[in-house]
Amino acid sequence: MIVYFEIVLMLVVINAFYIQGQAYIKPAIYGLGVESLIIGATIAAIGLLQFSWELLLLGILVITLRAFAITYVLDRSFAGKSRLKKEPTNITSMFVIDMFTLIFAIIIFQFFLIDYLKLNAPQLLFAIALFFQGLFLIASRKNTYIQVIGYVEEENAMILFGIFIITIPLLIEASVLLDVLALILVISIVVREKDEHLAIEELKG
Amino acid sequence: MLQTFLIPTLIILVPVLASISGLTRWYRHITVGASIIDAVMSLFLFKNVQASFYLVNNTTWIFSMMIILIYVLSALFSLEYISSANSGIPEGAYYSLMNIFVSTMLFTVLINNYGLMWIGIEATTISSALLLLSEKSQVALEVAWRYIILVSAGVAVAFISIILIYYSLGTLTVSIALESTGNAKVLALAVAIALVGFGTKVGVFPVHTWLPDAHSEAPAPISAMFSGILLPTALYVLYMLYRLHPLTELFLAFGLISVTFATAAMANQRSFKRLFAYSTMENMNIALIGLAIGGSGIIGAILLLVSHAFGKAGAFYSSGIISRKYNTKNIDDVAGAQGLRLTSTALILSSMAVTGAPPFANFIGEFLIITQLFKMGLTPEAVFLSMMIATAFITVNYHVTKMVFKGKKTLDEPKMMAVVAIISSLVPLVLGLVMVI
Repeated sequence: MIVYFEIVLMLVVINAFYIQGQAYIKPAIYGLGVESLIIGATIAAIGLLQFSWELLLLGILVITLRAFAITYVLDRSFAGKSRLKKEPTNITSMFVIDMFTLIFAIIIFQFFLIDYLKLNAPQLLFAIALFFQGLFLIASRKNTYIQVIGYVEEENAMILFGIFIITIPLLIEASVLLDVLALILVISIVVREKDEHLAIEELKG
Repeated sequence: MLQTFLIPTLIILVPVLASISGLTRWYRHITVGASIIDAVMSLFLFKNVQASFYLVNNTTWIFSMMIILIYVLSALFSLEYISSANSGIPEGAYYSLMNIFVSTMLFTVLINNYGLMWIGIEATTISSALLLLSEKSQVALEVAWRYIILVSAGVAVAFISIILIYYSLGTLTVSIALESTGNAKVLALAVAIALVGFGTKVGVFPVHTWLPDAHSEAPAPISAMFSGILLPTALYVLYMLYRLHPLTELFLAFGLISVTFATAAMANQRSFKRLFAYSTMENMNIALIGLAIGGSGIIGAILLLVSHAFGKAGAFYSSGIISRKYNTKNIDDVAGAQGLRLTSTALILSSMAVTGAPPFANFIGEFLIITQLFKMGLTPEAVFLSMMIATAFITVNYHVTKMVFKGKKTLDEPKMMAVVAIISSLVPLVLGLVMVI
C-alpha cells in the first residue's frame, strides 16, 4: 500500500513538471486542480485505511477548497482575458532548471531530514520536491497567474509535509485551507488588473 | 471568565464588528469609536496574567496597547486623509479592511497557539493587501502584488517550523511549549526556518524586499500601521518561536547584516517614504538583536518597539501631508516644508525619535541593547551596531532638515492630520523623559 502512495505522490511531482512546462495559463490552472485533487484523494484514502476521521475530513476539505474552489476562482478570474494567453518562455531551459530543483530537493531531504533529523518518512521527498518546484515557479515566471499557481503548489507541499511528519490538529489545517482560499480571492482582484510583474523605476533602490 | 476569555475576545471582535460599518454611511465615526472602545477595554487586561485560550502577560498587553493606540491615531488621521475621490478602493471598504487588519494583529498577539499565530500572520496579509490599492496607480498594483506573493511565499515557509514544533513537542500551545523540552535538533531547525519565514514579514535581509515598496506606496495611515504595528506583531511571533530554542549567534548575525543593509540603502534614497521604510527595517532588526541577546536587551527591544511605533507613525503621517501638499515623494522636490508649521515640527521630532536621538525613548532602548552586547563581551558587534545607528541618524536627519529648512513656502495645513502627527511624534519624547526622570 505504501508503494501505491509513493507512485501516486510521484504523479504529483510529474504534474508539477507539467505545470512548469506550460506556456499557456489555462492548462497550468487545471494542472494545479489535478495536483490538489491527487493530494486530497491520497489524504482521504489514508484516512479511510487508518480509520482516521480527521484525515478523511482533511482530504475532503483539500478536494473541496483547493482542487475545486481555488481552481474555480482562478479560472473565473482569468475568464475575461484571452483564452489562449501565452507567456513567452524558454520551456527547454525551464525544464532543465526544474530538474536541478529536484536534485536540490533530494540533497535537502538526505542531509536535513534523513542524516540530521533521522526522520524515517521517504514520502517527505515528494513534499520537498513539490515545495521547491513551487518556489521555482514563482521565481522563474513573470505572469502573475503562474506565480499564484507556484504559491498554491508551495501550500500543497505543506499539507504533504504535515501528513507525513505528524498530522497537525484539524482546526489549524482547516483554518490554513480557508486562509489560503481567502488569499486567492484577494489575489484574484489584484491579478484581474495586473497580468504581468514588471520592473518599475519608482520602486528601484 | 469575564477577564480571562471575554475581554480579549471583545478586543478582537470590536474591530470586526466595526468593519461591518463599511456597508453604512457612518463607517468613519464607527471606526474611530471602535478604536476608542478597544483602547478602554485593553486597560482591563493590565496585570491580568493568564494562559488559557489567550496568552495575556505584560508583553502581550504592551503589544496590544501599541496596536490599539496606533489604530486610534490612524483612524483619526484617515478622517481627513482618505476620500473616495483620490482612493483606488471605496472609502467604506478602506475602513472595513482597516478594522479587520487591526483585528488580525490583535488575534496574533493574544492567541496562545503557534498554529493560530501563523494563521493570524497570514490573515494580516489578506486584510492589508487591498489597502495598498488605496493609492490609485499602476505602481500601487505592482506593490500590492509584490507584497502578496513575497510575504505569502515566505510565511508558507514558516509553516514548516510550526509542523516541526508540533512534531518535537506534541503541542502548539505557546505557554505549554515554552516549558517543554523536545528534540533539540528539530527545534533548532524549526527556529532557523522561522527566521526565514516570519523574517519575511519582519524585514530581515535578504527576504525584506516587499517592505520598502509597500511602505512607500501605502496611504500614510496604513504605512504607519505597517511600520508601527504590523512588523512588531510579526517580530513578536518570531520571538515566541525563538524562545523554544535560542539560536543567538544566527539571529545576531542576521540582525547585524540587516541593519547594515538598511543603513546603506538609506544613504541612497531619493524618496522620503522609502527612506523611512528602510529606517523601519533598521529599527526592527535592532529590536531583533535585543530580543535575541536577552537580559536588558529584551527591555531595550520592547521600549524601542513601542517608541518606534509612535515615532514612525508620526513620520509617516507628516510625510503623507507633505506628499499631498507637494504632490511628490521625492526628497529633492520638497523645499521649505517649514511653511507647514505643525507638520514640519512633527516630521523633525519623529525623525529624531526613530533615529535614536536622546532623550527620546528610542535612544534608551538602543542604549540598553548596546549595553547588553558589551556585557556579553560582544564588543565588536556593539561598536559596529553603534556606528550603523550613528550613520542612520546622520542620513535621515540630513534629508529631513533639508526638506524642512531649505527655502520657505506658505501652504495651508490640514489641522486635524497635523495634530495627529504631532501627538504621535511627542509620545517617544514624553516616554523618554518619563524614563529619565
